[in-house]
Amino acid sequence: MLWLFSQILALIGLGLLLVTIAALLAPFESLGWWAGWSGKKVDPEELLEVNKVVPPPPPEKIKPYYVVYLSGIGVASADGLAPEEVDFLDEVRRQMPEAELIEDVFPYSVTNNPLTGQRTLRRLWRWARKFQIQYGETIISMVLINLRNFLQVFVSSDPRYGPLYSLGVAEEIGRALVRHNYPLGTRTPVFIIGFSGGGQVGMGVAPYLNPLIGGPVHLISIGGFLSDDPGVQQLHHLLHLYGHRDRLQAVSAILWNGRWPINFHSPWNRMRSSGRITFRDLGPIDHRGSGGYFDQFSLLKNGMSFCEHTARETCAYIRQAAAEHPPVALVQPCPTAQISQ
Amino acid sequence: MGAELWDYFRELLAIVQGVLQLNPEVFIRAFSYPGAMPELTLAVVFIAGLSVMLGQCVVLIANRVSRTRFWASILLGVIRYVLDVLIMSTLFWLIANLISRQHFLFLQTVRVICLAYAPYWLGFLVLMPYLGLLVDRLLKLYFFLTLLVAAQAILQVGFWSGVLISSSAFGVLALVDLLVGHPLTHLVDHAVFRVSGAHDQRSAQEIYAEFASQITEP
Repeated sequence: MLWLFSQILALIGLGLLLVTIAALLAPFESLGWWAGWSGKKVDPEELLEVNKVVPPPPPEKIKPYYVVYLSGIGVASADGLAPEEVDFLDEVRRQMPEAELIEDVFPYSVTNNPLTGQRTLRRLWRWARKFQIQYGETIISMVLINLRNFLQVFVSSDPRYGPLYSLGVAEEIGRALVRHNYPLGTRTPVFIIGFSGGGQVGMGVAPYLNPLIGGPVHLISIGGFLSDDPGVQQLHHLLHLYGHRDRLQAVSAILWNGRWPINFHSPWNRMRSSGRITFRDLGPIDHRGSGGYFDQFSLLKNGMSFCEHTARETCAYIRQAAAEHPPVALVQPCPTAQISQ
Repeated sequence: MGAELWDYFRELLAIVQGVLQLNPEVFIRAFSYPGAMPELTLAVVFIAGLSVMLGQCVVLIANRVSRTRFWASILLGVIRYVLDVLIMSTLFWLIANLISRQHFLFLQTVRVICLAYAPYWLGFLVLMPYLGLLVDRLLKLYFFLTLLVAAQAILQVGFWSGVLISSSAFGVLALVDLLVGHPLTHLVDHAVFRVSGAHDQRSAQEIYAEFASQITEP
């Protein structure tokens, strides 16, 4: 019995050691990107492509509003969303056909490089992804993919690394918007839907995305794991949708002291007191899986599925908020229209 | 040679383990035997300095220094750290002599204070996202505790006297740093900046703020 106990302790110790090593290495993807370790340094001039103004898209392709979806931590690439997330996005598309829905941004990489893309450990990630597709959410995918992306959420929220991380992701969101015919400089609103860790990433990118696209940025956090990131102040509005069975989103309010009510001068609390953060209880909904925000089989008392309910609240907010931002007609390429496609 | 090196590391680890366990015997041993463990105590500070510098290397990376300059800056930073430790030891020695009205040998005191820096072997953990900032504070507290145990062990004083001496050393160090340390630091920083290749090394936050303003400017 004692032998077994010591073996379990040794395993826990080994696990903690591996998590610590992973945590120590977590900021180096964004740091390396910034420092140019991959061979190319980030240059503000180049990032903005000052001399390469993007021509406005044809009017018939312009949508009244653009919605960017940032997935939860369980994904290895933007095209490998969890089936429940795909269901949710289909529902949003069904309820709001007039919007342009962008889902090709992988929020856990500063260069939009999926885990299965060109990486040193790509074989490991591909194996984990294959395992995830074959067997669903198992301990292996939980430990490998979720832990890796979860650590990136902490990188995003850390005041030392966060601005740099957010800058990279904002650039990628900007590029994705241009790819999807976003008319830069017309003040067409952009809505970021951030599920779980994607909520935090969406909050972090606001200070960079806002001036880059020249339009208001709204964040709809679905059970978002939100920190006290000062980037929240650059959001036009933050809607936090949560289920009261979701403990994970509640933990984030404890982890970051800037979210404690006692810190009434923190950016978060200033935003909240000015009415630019809204909390909306979706009912007895959990974070994910059966009974989660995107569950199509669990039903509310009114017969609506959890997924439909979450999508309905999201779309209702987007329509209402978009009405407040009539787009400005684009006469000539705007000075902010500087993102290359 | 190999066996000697192994013994050396084993002894070094045993000392660090003792300090981390707040064992007063380690400090008494370093204090009582003149000439004991000089290179071991220096190794403790050197590794602590290296670990702390690695934990703070985000500033160098944000400044985009080259690889050679990165390591040169780390090395200079370690030397600066050792100088800081010597200043702290001198202050501690002066305060200990003043309060206890005994005459302690300077080198003995330096050895003990060097050992108290052992918690900073974990300084690299500051790199961890989110938890790193908490680790930074915990390490400062841990260092204060090791300093307290060292004060109690070598001065043979009670808990509160130890707290008084350690706190005084911290307070005076902050004051000296404010009055004398800043010009000196500027000189050392100037050397560090020359090595790191940045004329004006800025914090990561300052760089990001400038970047954001560049994006905002039409």
